[in-house]
Amino acid sequence: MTFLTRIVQLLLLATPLVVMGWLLNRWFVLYPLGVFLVEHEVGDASPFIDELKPETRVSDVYEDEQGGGVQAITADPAFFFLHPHRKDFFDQVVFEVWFQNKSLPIVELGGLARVNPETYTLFPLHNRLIDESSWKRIDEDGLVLLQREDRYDSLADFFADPPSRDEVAVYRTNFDVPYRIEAYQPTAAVQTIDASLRGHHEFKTYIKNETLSFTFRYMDMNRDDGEDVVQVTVFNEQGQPVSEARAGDDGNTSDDAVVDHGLKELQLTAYSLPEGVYKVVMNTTRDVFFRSIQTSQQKMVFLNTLFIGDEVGYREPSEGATFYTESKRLRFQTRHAEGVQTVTAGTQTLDIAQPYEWYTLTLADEGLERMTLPTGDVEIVTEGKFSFSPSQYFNPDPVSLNAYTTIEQLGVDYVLAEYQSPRKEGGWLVATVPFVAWDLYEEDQTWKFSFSAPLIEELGAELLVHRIDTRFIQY
Amino acid sequence: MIWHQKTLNPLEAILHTGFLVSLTSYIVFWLADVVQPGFVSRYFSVHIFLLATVVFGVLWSMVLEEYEQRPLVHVALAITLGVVLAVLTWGLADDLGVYRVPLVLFAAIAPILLYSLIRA
Repeated sequence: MTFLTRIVQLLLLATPLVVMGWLLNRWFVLYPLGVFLVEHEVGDASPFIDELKPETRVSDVYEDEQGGGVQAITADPAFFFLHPHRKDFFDQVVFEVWFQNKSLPIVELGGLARVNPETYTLFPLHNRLIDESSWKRIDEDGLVLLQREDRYDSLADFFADPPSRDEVAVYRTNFDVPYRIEAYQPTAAVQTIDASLRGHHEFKTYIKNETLSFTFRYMDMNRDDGEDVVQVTVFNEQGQPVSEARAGDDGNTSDDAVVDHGLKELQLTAYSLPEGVYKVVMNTTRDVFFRSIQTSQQKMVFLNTLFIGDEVGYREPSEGATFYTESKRLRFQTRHAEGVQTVTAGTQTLDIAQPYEWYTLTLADEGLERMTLPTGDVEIVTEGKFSFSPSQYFNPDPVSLNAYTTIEQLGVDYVLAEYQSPRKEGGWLVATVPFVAWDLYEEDQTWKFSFSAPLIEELGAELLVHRIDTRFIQY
Repeated sequence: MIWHQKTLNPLEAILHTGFLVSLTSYIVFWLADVVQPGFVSRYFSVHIFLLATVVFGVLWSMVLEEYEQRPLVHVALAITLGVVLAVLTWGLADDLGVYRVPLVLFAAIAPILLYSLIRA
């Protein structure tokens, strides 16, 4: 009897010790070494991963024939939040997403990398344009090469003797054949971009036997709390920073909208740069409005996003902006009633009828299109480039494969992609998507991830999600 | 000198152990969760141990054959608890301005006050 009593007492003592050991193991991620696995089926409550949102873009969770949870994404974008239990501890987050996609051309998962504006680092989940292509396919080390004609036996052969840039389309990767304009001649003429650009922007420019020179005139409008530092960095074709200009805050970190210093000036100059395409990142907050940019560079295209700011406190009435693009699908949004306006694009018009609503403009004609915003205060997003004069426009990047076209329509002979087709598990496709933790924007120990499913509403399609398993990895 | 260990019947011994283990676990796990929010509460409610403490405590009191008064231990525990409560209240009442000090003092004397009332 005493022995049995001792055993029961021992069990009572051991229980909290075992529980504490289990908790410590999960906290310090000891086993398996450096990997913390969170398995999550949609509909199940989890302290690490929230349900898909918003409710207007996802269905209720229901059970499939096997009794597994399923949730349908019906509009773009749908997102979820991830809560790592330790801050600044993990180096990598790897998702395994179980999904079904019957009709969407491309589905991607993005991790929020930056806010104001929100920028996501996107990785492919499913690219049906590639998976269903009849072209010859080579898969090597996470890269895919599609060939219209059977010319290369391996990616090594392809990179050893690459085709011209015009023959290659890329998807989520780079094609490292440098872009050169043979007939380019530098000039001393100075051009001015007289448009208000709000916050972070990126552009590319071309340099050949000339000094890189940009003069930014900007205003710190002090509409949000916090410092408003302006940092402009130049990156070469290898992605290495080669020059930088920086200006500190105006001393007013409040949100009182007081502009004490008027127009401030930031000069960016870099001498003796070799010929090539340079990327310039204008990194700052939404409080900073670049009112003009002066440059002696002839080529200058902004990448993917333009935020034409309002001109309150700068000039009345606002002059808006005119810009040029070859993109065939652009999205517009204003956040204020004063930004409601009609966009003119060639012979087409688009009404931005109310704030906080995204409006899509689809263009049919080929070539460069002129667009006019009468009053500004509009964010414009596209997969492409913008310039502020036709002569400044150039496209130094290979043509990109996206959801709004087919491979045949691109007019290329090769597609180079960083992509691994999802594997099949029963009736589900399972894609593995890795994110680097330091590349993710963290707030309140939370990361945000978003499904990108372009054309989902136009096609009346659904993306069915069954599981999102997560491995937090600490090297 | 011969030491006589007090002998308990098996059920009382088990319930006694269960009560002490659950109470200690509740304090330790709760403090761990206070120091590192989410350490425990991400996985289960720390109050499970409190529930176990109450259950073991009630059952133990039902089978208790002989109750031994230990006033010094009780007072020591009440003082310790008072100090812990005072520290926690000081941290939590940061925004309460002039009420902070009286609240901390009340938290510090509350356990010994309650013990005195029970003893009275």
